[in-house]
Amino acid sequence: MTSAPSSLVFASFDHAADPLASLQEVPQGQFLRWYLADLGAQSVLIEEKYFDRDYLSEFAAFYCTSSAGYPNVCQRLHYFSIAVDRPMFERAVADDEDALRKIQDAYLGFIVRRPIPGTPFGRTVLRWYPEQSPDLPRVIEPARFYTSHVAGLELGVRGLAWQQQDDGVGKCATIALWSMLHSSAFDDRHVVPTTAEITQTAHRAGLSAAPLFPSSGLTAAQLIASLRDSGFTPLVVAGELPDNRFGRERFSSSLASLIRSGYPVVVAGASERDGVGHAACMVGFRQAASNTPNPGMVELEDAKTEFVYIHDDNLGPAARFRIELDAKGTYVALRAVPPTGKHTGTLPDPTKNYPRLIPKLLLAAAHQDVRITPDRLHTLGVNLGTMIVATTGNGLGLSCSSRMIRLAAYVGPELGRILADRPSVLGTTRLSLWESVPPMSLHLGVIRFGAGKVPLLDVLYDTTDSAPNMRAFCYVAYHPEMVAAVERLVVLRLFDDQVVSVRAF
Amino acid sequence: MNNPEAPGGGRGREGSLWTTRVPTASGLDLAKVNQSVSADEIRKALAAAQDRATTFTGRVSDDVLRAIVGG
Repeated sequence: MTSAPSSLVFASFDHAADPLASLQEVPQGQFLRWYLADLGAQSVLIEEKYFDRDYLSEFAAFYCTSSAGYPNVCQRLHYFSIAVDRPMFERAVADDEDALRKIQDAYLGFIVRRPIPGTPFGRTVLRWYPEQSPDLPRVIEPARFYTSHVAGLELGVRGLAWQQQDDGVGKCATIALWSMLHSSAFDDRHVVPTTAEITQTAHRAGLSAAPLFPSSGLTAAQLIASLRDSGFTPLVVAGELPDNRFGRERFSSSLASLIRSGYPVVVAGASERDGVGHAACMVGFRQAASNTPNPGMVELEDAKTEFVYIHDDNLGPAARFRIELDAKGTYVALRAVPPTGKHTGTLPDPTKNYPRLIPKLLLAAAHQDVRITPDRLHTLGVNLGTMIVATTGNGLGLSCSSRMIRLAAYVGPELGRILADRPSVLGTTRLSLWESVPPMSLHLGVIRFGAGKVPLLDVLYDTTDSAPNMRAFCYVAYHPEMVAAVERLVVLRLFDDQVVSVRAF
Repeated sequence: MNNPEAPGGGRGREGSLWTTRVPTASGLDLAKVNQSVSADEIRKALAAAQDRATTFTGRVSDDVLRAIVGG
């Protein structure tokens, strides 16, 4: 009987009482086992009865009318990097500070186990691997903070929700969209649609002859319509090569710009093995190193991005994929490549034989007021960078990168970080932006130029207008020569004479 | 020119435009603006870069829009 009370269960990770150990036949189970082993999982706390919002929505939409008699209650598994047993947990829920701190510090995240035998993995949020390359960190801007409560004990983890497609209410496209809408960028919206709601919204426009449930997948057109009808601006980037395949520069620069902006990216494409359509959600990437471009060149720094982290419902959360090219070096293909295992066991590689994905479409959900795309930012960046370089008689080479950012986050944390060593300059720059520049939009499009990795110039664009009228509010120069270059372009009537100069040097 | 204490900002260390701080000293020796470069010369440079700029103009095909994504 599902409504009967039940005790919490404490078990060792990957031992018989750990439910994950009995789910190895499911590929995602292998992946989660590997991932948790690498995080150093030691123990699991099992809530036998847990009502999950997403599963309840799936249950109401589909499973409640099945003759299989599925229950409406799930199991929730909490993993820790220390051995958490009942006596320790009893001390923690009695507010023993030492036990409380140890348990909270060791929390690795949770997995909701649905009562659906073939597709058991529901909402799952796990901690990222520890960062080992702080100079070139993973960019995981979309990650947000999730809290769970067990007997009054608050457990927190920073990540982004993932789940396995259940084949009833949602296929891969629904799941990818669901993960995307969990992003930290939408914290101000509070309500994240469930998978059932996403699939229902996608069918609202009557764009498909397929039945609503069980879902047979969504088209890209349905995904875009679903985002628009849910109150977001769909930002669509299609491959520029034949059959909508991507070259490396466009693919890598676009995904980096969007993820850095806090917008996860649904990547839709085809499996290299059989051509079957697939979608997954890109949630992070490894920052590429900046090289100083040769004189006369403008290089997009993110074009060299090598690794992207993908919530793939067929595999698992934050799976690392390498951005590769086909044999002729023309178009992008994504290959799952796990980092070298840190655990000591002999677990099978969950990505072995996993086919490469050929991306054809990138889709992100932006705030409604954002009307600028990464393509537009990169076109503006290449053009302006080329003109600045030309003012020096091609003596200068520039690196270039872009993102969208809330005005408050740019003036606050971003300038605070970049000018941390020059506090007086930081203060005058912040005041100049507030007092000298006409009122700016809530979100900015920022194009950053540099000498290799050293920032020289930010140009701040309005995100709220149509492309032909897109204007720069101002530029923030970190070096006097950048002021000279932009002023020269203004004198020659090659750049907007209304743009405000902010000197940050 | 770089602050070795800055994340990603030390000389010889890897870094990127979004992880490097602006250096404390303004000793970065950049190529100077050449006042003799004309507007026409800059326009020519811009025209030469247009092929590259059009990289960022892919249009989604009907085939891709209509394909079922359900793998």
